[in-house]
This record gives sequence, structure tokens and C-alpha cells, in this order.
Amino acid sequence: MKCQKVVKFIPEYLEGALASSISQEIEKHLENCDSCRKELHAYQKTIQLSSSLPVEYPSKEKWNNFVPELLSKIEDSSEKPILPFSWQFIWRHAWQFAGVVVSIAIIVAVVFNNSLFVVRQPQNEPKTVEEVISESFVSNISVEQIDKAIQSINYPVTSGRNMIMIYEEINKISVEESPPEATDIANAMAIEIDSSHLNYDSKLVEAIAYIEEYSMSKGE
Amino acid sequence: MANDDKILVRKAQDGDKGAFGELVSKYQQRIYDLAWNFTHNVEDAYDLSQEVFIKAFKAIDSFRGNSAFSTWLYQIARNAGIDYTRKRKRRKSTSFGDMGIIDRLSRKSPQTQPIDKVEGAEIGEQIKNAIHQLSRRQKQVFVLRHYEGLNLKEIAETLGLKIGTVKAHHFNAIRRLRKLLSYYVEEEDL
Repeated sequence: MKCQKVVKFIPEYLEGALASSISQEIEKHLENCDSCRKELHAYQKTIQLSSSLPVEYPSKEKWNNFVPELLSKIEDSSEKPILPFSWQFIWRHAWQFAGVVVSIAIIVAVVFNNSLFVVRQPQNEPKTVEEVISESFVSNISVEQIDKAIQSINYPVTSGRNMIMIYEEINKISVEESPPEATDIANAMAIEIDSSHLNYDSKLVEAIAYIEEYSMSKGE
Repeated sequence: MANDDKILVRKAQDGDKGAFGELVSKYQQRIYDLAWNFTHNVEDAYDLSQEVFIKAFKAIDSFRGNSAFSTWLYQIARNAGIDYTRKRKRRKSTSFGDMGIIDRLSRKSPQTQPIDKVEGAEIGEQIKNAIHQLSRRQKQVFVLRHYEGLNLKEIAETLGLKIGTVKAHHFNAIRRLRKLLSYYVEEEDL
């Protein structure tokens, strides 16, 4: 087995998720390869580091106030809203209420240009993010081409327009070819977008999340 | 212990808020710890654990005692944690926030990056930032696997995903963390 393949399998190897024959091949390779052993150690260290964050607690005062604060919230939320009429009252006067509702509906219909009775032509619905993204995954652009495309955009990336240009380039990525790279770019973009407070940021972040989901499903 | 819970739950179901308060006191730390695993933020963990107990109180009439109260409560907390990661946008990294997008994408060796070394507790902040940079699913899977100790099959059941999808999220999460934390991982090898 070659180094590149061994490195690719390391996370699964650590999880014990590989067939025993592949695991044995990897172990055999690791016995003779310093570089891959170092990579294995780096992954082990990554998991150890990332999963060993100690829990941090609020101040003692806040901590001790946890239960009283909670019970107070429960008390507030359980107070029933005061309604002008009871359901029994409404039921007893159902016909009168129905009459009022119909009258209001007629007035609203007249005021809004008989909108209740006019069949309107369906308007062009804006495309969903999913539709836009799925339509854009049509070309097979390599990672090198993506890098080139990003490099070609004025650096540093500061304006919303540049963000859109990069985003458009990302849309062209064939995630089937390079899911980790697509994810990296999407993640980096999400950070940029989060920090730039653009009007369309939530839409783009949503789109990027979709790119990731898409790339993951293709990466299975 | 479990009998104590049963009595307190019964009282809470009868509207005894004091009894519910006793249950909260008993499980406050464990639920907070679980919430912290998903948030890695004191304020959010506090709010999330409050939310968990409020949900538990509102749903306590539906608790029939088929499982331990603690199991039922953890399930609510875990779902709340998963929901939190769904709603929460990834945060801007403080460690890499000053670096441009190209730097971050250049895949250069971390030793070549112009970042000052950080020490001790700051490493914890870097780890938090790295975890916050994972995608929603990657984070959910990573936390459930390495903080909550669930195996991949259990995670698949919890998140309603296929096992293959969970594996892909898990492995990509580790690869990404390895890349984001390479500075510290490789530093120890030097």
C-alpha cells in the first residue's frame, strides 16, 4: 500500500472501521514508514487535543442561582395569558362571531381589489438555494483551476462583490472530485461572510452549508 | 437513588415545583457539562441547560418511567445540543481572523504562517475555534463521538443519518481539525 492511501485511511484506521485485511496492510506499512507513522501520531494527537477541552463554569454566584432562576422562568411561562373571552363565551356566541369574521373578510377583499376572487397568475418564484446550487454543479473544474480562479480575484478579499465572485467560482467546483477542498473553501468563505455582515450572508452561509452536505454525501 | 427520582418526578408531575427544583439541583452539573460540550461557551451552556430543564418540566407529564429519569433527561439535553449546533452559525476564528482567505486556502505548512505562538490556556481557545469552524454536521458527529462517547452507529440513529454519512462527517471533521490544529500537533513532535 502506498503512503497516500495509508494517510487517507488513517481516520478510519483509528476508529477501527476498516476491514481487518486493510488494517493489517496499514500496520505492515507503518512498521517501515516513518512519515506515515508521524502522520498517524498527528491524527491521534488531533483527536486527543480536540476532545480534551475542560468544562468551564459560570461564576459561583450565577451557578448557585441556577435553580431559582430556572424556577422563576417556569413560573413566568406557566402563567396563563388573560383572554378577554373564554372559549365557552365564544362557543355560545359562535354565530355572531362567524358573522363578524365573514364581514371582515368581505371588507378586506373589497379593499384589496377583490383579491379573494381573482385568480392571479403564478409569479416567478425565486429559486431555492438548493436549486441554485444543484444547477451550478455542472462543470468539472479541478482544484488547481479553483486556486487559480481565487488568485485571479483581487486580494485581499474585502468587498461583497469579491465575495460573490469567489462564491460563483466555488459553485463551479465538482465536489465529486474534491470534497475536502470544497469544504475548506466553503468554511473559509463562511468565516469571511460571517465577519462581513453582508445582507445576503445568511443566504450564502446556507448555500455553503448545502455545498458541504452535498460534498459529504458524494464523499461517502 | 432511582427511587428518589421516581418520587420527585411523581411530585413534579403533580405540580410540585420544589420537587422539580430538587431534580434540577441533582442533574444541573451533568446537564451543564453536556451543554458545554456542544457550545464550548459558558454563557451559551448556561442558557442551553436552562432551556433543557424548562423543556423537561413542560414535558414531565409525558414521562412514564419506562426508562430512568436521567436517561430521559439526557435525551432531551442531547437533542437540545444538536438543535443548538443547527441554529448556530459558525463563529469567526479569532486565531486566524486576521489572515486573508488566500492564506487560509494556501495549504502552506503551518510553520510558514505568520502566527505568534500561543501558550497554555490559549491553546484551548484555538481548539474551540477549530471545533467552531467545523460544519454543522461535522461538529454534531465529532461532539457525539468524542465528548459524549457514542459510537458511530448510535450517532447515526441519534441524528437520523446513514452510517456511511456519519463516517464521512466524522472522518472529514478529524481531517479538518488535524489541518486547523497542525501547528500544535506538529509542534509537539519537534
